[in-house]
Amino acid sequence: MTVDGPRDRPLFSLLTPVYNPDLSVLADTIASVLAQTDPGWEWVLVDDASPDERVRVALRSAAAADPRIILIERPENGHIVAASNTGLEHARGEFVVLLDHDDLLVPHALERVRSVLAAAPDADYLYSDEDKVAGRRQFAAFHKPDWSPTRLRGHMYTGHVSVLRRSVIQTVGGFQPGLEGSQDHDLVLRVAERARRVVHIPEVLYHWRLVAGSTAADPSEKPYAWYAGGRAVDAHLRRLGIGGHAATLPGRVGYYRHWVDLPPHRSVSVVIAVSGDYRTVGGARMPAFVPALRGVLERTRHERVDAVIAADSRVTSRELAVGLNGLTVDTHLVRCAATEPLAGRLNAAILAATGDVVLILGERIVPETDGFLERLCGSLEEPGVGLVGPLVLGPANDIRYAGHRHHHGRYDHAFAGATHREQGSWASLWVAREVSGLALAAVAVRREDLLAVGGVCEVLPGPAAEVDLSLKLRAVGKRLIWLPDVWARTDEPIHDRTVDAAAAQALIARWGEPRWDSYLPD
Amino acid sequence: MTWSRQRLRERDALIAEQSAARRASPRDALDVLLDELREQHETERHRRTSQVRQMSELVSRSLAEQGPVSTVKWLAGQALRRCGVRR
Repeated sequence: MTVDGPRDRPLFSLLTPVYNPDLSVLADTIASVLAQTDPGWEWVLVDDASPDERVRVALRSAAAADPRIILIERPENGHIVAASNTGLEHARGEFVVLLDHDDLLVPHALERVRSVLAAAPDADYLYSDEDKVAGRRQFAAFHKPDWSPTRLRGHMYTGHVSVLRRSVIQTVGGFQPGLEGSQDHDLVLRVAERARRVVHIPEVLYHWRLVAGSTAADPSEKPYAWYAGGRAVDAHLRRLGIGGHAATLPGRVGYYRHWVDLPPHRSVSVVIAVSGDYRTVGGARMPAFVPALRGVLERTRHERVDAVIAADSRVTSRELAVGLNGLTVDTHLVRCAATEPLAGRLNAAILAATGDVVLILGERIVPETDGFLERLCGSLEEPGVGLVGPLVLGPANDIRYAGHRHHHGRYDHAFAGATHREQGSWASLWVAREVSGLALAAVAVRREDLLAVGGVCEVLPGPAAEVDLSLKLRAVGKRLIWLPDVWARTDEPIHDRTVDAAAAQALIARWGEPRWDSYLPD
Repeated sequence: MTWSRQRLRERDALIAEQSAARRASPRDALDVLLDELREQHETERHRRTSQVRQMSELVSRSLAEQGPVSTVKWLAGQALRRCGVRR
């Protein structure tokens, strides 16, 4: 039964499975619920047969003190999934708010969620920022990305506080037995698959307590949880029916990698705009695009591949013949004027391309991951994904391109200069995730999407045109994905793709000023 | 209709026009609310950053003028005061 109230007054059902918490910590949790400024809640507390009798006494006195507290005492311990499902059976509210037995809600947490729901009544899942608490000290605030479904496959970043529409929880069957420890990750994946809208509330509404034995203090405390998490992500990808798979990230507890198969029938055109640069590889001097093109072709087993080379008139036919000699794929040559800027050359190549997918590669970008083409292009099999890019490293393993960060009127390459071994803010360099933009150094895009947004803008200066393509694809509702475990290397000068102040002004005139990056807020 | 450079340019201009029109229209109530929250966070972050900068300047000055022993004593006093301990 759902307790119906006025549309703007949905009842919140706080749900807390309890198992033997420290009594003073439990008292703080109870106090944080009783201190809520919004009175429209009920609290389903499920004691999962705590051995410490004092816990039951504390819970009973809390329930006796406030009629909104519903205490369920399980006769035997069933672990967190069974206890959570018992709680769900007794919840009556329109929304379920997950609260651990040792954590704290900020006093206005439910009031804030209600105000957001009033502005987004179709939201089926909401999550807020969170920090950690030890004793009375709050620290390590996690200001989270806006809704980032790809990132959710990499780790349970939405965490606390999570507010889910109860009818959707019921539709997906509640918490899944066998996924103990990652049951919330699994539930959020399932609910998000069906959610009409997911909203990120950019405010810390939850304090996650650091206590010995908790995952907040040490993620390796509950290894079973992380194997369950990997299974949950894999099952999520299977439900989506896009040919996706997931596995745990070796040595990084709580993090997962995933990939999507590229179907054999999908045709791919590798597009390279050639300017006449040379490079020396193994003592041999050759047109710069040769290692790039060979790098991608030598690392793919996909059969339906061709190449389109857009070369300006400075590149001689002989040089091209040397570069293309021995290649086993169909290669189309598009000749451009020497004065043609990069955007024009790319557009000419895109028009000549025939593949379902276009893989744009800079002429000094050399793929190094086996299956580079399959991984980038495979990710486009998911509906809604519009652009996919890899990690591009410089000669010293320094990060060149790992997605854009658009903030405070700037368009930066996120993490540029960091080493590839770094974690990035909140593991942003470990997991595949949505990004605000991608460098055209190496990207996969469906040809029809590229045409629908007018290709690469020819009126903006070069680096701005690169950012602009990302913004156009986002404007038509596409998600842009960066993959950390697919990489290429480059020796191109970093300023070639840097948006300077003048280029930024041109972008701002076209798109408005970016204030906060949606996916890298801090 | 086949695609051409001219048609790409037209489509590019159309997307830019649509973006301008969207920016000119009234903002969604949810976006307004969430931006207010982000603004609050930004203000708070600025406040904390300037506090840290101020403290760092004080420590540098104290190190230069008083030396390390006095600076450590002074910092310990600050920490105790923050915990409510008065000497």
